[in-house]
Amino acid sequence: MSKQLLDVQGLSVTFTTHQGTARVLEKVSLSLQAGEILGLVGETGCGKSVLARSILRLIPQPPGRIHEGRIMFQEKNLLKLSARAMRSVRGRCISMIFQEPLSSLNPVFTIGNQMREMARLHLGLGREAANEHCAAMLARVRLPDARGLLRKYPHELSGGQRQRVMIAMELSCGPQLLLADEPTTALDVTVQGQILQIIKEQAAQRDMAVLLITHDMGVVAQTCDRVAVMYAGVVVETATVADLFARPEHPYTQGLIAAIPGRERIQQLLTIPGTVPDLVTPPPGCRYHPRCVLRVKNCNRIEPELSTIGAQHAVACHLSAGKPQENWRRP
Amino acid sequence: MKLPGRFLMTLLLYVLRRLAYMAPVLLGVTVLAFLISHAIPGDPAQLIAGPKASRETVENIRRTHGLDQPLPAQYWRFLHGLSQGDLGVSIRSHRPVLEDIRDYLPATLELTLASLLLCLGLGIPLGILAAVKRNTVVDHLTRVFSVIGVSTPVFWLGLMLLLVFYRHLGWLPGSGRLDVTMAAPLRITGMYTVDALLAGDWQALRNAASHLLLPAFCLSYVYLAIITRIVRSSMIAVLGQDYIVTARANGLSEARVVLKHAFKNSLIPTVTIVGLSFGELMGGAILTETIFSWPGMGKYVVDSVNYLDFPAIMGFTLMVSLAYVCVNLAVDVLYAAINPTIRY
Amino acid sequence: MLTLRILSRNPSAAAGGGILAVMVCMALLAGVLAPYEPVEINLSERLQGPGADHWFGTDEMGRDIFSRIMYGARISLRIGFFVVAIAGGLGALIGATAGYLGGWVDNLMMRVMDVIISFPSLVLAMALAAAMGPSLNNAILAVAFVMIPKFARMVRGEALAVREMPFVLASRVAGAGHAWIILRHILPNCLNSVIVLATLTLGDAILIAASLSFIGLGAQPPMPEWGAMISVGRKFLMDQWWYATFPGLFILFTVVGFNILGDALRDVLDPRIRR
Repeated sequence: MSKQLLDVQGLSVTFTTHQGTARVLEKVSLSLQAGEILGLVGETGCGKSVLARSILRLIPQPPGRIHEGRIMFQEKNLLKLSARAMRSVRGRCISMIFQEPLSSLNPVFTIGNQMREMARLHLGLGREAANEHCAAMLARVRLPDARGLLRKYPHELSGGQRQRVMIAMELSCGPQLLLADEPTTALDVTVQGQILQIIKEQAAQRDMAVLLITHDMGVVAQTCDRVAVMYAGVVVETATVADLFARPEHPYTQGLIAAIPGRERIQQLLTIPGTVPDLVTPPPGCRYHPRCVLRVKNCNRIEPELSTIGAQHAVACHLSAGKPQENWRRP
Repeated sequence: MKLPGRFLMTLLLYVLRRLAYMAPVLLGVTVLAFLISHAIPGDPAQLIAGPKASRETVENIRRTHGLDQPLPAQYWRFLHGLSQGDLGVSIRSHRPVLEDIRDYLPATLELTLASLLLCLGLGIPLGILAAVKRNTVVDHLTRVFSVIGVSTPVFWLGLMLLLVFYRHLGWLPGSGRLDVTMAAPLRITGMYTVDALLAGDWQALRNAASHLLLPAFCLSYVYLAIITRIVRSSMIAVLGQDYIVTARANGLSEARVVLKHAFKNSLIPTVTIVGLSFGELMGGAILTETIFSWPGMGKYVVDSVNYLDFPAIMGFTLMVSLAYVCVNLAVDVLYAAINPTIRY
Repeated sequence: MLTLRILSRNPSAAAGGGILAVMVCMALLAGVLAPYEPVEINLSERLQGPGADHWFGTDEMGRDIFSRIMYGARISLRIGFFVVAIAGGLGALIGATAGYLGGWVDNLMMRVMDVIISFPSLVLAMALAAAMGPSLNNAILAVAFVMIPKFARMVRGEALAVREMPFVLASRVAGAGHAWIILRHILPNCLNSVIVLATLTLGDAILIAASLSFIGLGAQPPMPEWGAMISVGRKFLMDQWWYATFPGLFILFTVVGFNILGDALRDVLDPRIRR
C-alpha cells in the first residue's frame, strides 16, 4: 500500500451559534491516496462541506473553530502551517470546486482575468504565458474557442460551461488533490455525466486524488473508488464502492442505499424516518440511534468507534463490532 | 481593457435611451420650477419693478415680461427662454441669472469636488475596514461615527468647526477663499487651488487650500457617513459570497481578496449612492457656503432668499436639479461599466 | 407588543428610545420644568455664560437658553410629527393607489414622484418655502412635500406585492370597490414599512426644517426654534460660544435618537427596506 496523500485524523470542528456550540465534526478520520477518488456522502448538513473547507482551513473563525485532530497532507500537518504557507497550498496543491458555478465565479471579472490571476500567482507565469496556459486548460476540459472564452464574463456562459471553467481553473496549477463539493448538483442531468467524466479523466491523467462530496449514491457508484458515509458530523462507514453497495454494514448506509430510487424494483420510495439531529445537543452514544430501526441497548450510551471489519471496510456501529450485544434483534 | 467600437456604440445607444426616458421627467422639473416661481405671494411684476416703481412702470414690466398672458403661454415663454439659456434677470444684481451663476459656479465646484475627494478618500477605506473588522471596536466606532454623521446639522457643524479651529486654535482661516491681502491666481478654471497649482504659485496654493479645508470637511461629513455606511454594508454582503471563498481557496492573499475581488463588487451599490448623495452635497453646500462666507452658488442663493430674489432662486434650483439629473445619468453609465451583467 | 419587547432587548433601540423619551418629556413638561419663560426679556442679564442661574447661558435679550431649548423641543417634535403625518399619509395613499391600480395611473403618479425626487431635497424645500413666504407652517408644508415620494415609492413596491395576495382577490370577488380594497387591505399591509420609514424620516424632517429656519425661511425669531436660535447665535459665535452650541447639540441628539430607533425598528419589523 502506497503512502497516504491526505490523512485526516480525529478532526473535531465546532461552530458557535445563537443556540449554543454545535459540534459539526466529531473526531472525523479519513484518508486518500494519490489518484484515488473518494466519495463523501451524507444528508445536507451532515458536515461534508465543513470537512472539505476545514482541509483548506477556510471555515470562518469565529464562529467556526477546529478543536483537535491533524490534517496530514504530504506528511505536513496543514493545521500547523503559517498563513502564508497555507496560501501556497491552496489552489496549488489542493484545489476546490463548488456546487454553484455561477456564484463561485466572480461576476465582475472576465474568466481570463480570474484564471490568469491564479496561474500567475502559483506558477509565476507572465501575462502572455498565463493566457496560453489558461486557454490550454480550457481546451482540456473540452471547451471550444478557449481564447474567446477568456474574454467572457461568467454570466455569459451556461451552467455546464461555467463548471468546466471552474474545473479548468482549479486544475490549472496542477494540484495533487481536488476537493469537489457537490460539483454536479446544480446542473442538468445530461451535463452532470459530462462533468463527472471530465473529473474522472483528469484524475487518471494527473494521478490526482479527488474528494467528491455528494448526496447522490448514483454519482458515487458511477465515479468513485471508495466511499465514506457521514452522518451528523461523524464518519459511520468507509468501504470500496463495490463493497459498500454489496455489503452495507451501518444501518444508515443500508437506509441510504435502499432509498435510491428505482433499485430492486421497489415501487414505493423508501425514506429514512426522522430528521438530522440538532448538533448543539447531539444524541448521546451513537448519533444515529434515535432514527435507527436496529437500535440496541448500548446505542444511546456508548459512542461506537470506527473499526475495521474487512479489507478497506470500516464501520462505526455496535452491531458490527463483532461482539454480539445483549438484547439485539433484527426485525 | 480594450474598448471596441461596438462597445462604444451600445454605450451611446444606452445613454440616448436613458435620455429619452428622462425627457418627460426633465420637462416635469421645468413645470414644477415654473409653478413654484408663479406661486409667489404678491405681484411678480411689482417685485421686479421694486417697491417704489410707478403704476405705469409696473404695467410696462407686466407686458414686456408677458405676465399678463395666461399661464400656459407664460410657461411656453419660460421654456423658450430656458432653451436659450435665459433664466431671467436677478432682482438684486440686475444681471442675467445665468451670468451670476456662472460667476459663482467655480467656487462651488471647488468646494464640492474637494468634499467628494475627502468623502471617497476617507469613506471607502473606513467602510472596508469596518466590514473586514466586523463586530470589533473599529466597526462599532465607525457605526457611531456614521450615525452621528447623518444626524448632524451641517450648519451647526460648520459653526463648531469655526469655533474650534478658527476662534480657539487659530489654525485655519474662518471665511472666504483667500486672504484679503492676496491676489487671486490667474483664472483658468476659476478654482483657486487648481489655478494656483497650474500657475505654480505655491503660496497662493497653500493659502487657498487652508481656506478650503474647513468648509470641505464640514460639507463632506454627512456624505462621508453615508458612504462609509454603504461601503461597509455592501462589503459585508460581498464578503459572504461564494466567489470570495473561491478566491481564498485559490490561495490569493487576503489583501487581494478584499481589495480586488470584494471591492469591485461592493462598488456597484456604492456608485449608486454616490450619485444619489450628490443632492445632499448640493443642499449641504448652501449651508456650508453661508457659514464660511464661501462666495459660491449656495451663498448666492441664500442671499437671494433674504432679498426674495425669485429669478435667482429659481435659476439656482433649476440648474442644480438639472446637474443632479445629469450626475445620476453619468452614474448609471458608470454603473453599467462596472457591472458586466447589466445589458445596455 | 411583541415589537416593543424585542426592541427593549436591543441596546441601541433602547438608547434611541431613551433619548426620545427625554425629548418628549422636555417638550411636554416645558411649562413646569423650565426655570424661565422662553420669551422673557431681561436685558440686565444679556449674553451671560453658562452658570448656576442659567445652565446654558442667556441670549442677547437676556432670555434663558435652557428654557428656550425646552420649549424648542415642542416645536421640533411638532415639525417632525406634522411633516411625517402629511408626507406619510399622502405618500402612502399615492403609492398604494399607484401600485394597486397599475397602468397609466401608476405611470403618471410615479413620473410625478420622479420629478420631485429630481430636486435635491433641501434645495426644493428652500424654493417652496421661499415661494410660500417665510413661516414655520410653510416650512412644514415645504418639507412634507419633498418627503412624499419616499413614502409613495416604498408603499407602491409593497402594494405591488400585496395586490397579488389571495385575500385581495377574494375581496374583489365579494364585490368590494377599489377604494375599499386600497384602504382596508393594501394600506394596512404596508403599515410596518411605513412606520419604519416614518421614524427614519422624522430625523431628516427635523434636520431640513432646522436648516430652513437657519437660512431664515422657517420659524422666525423670537420663536425658540432650535435652527432659528442657531441662526441668531451665529452672530455671537466668536465671543458667546454657548448661544449657537447648545441648540445644535439638541438637534443632534433628537435626530440621532430617531435614526437609531428607526434602524432598530427596521431590523425588527422590516428587514427588506434599505436606506
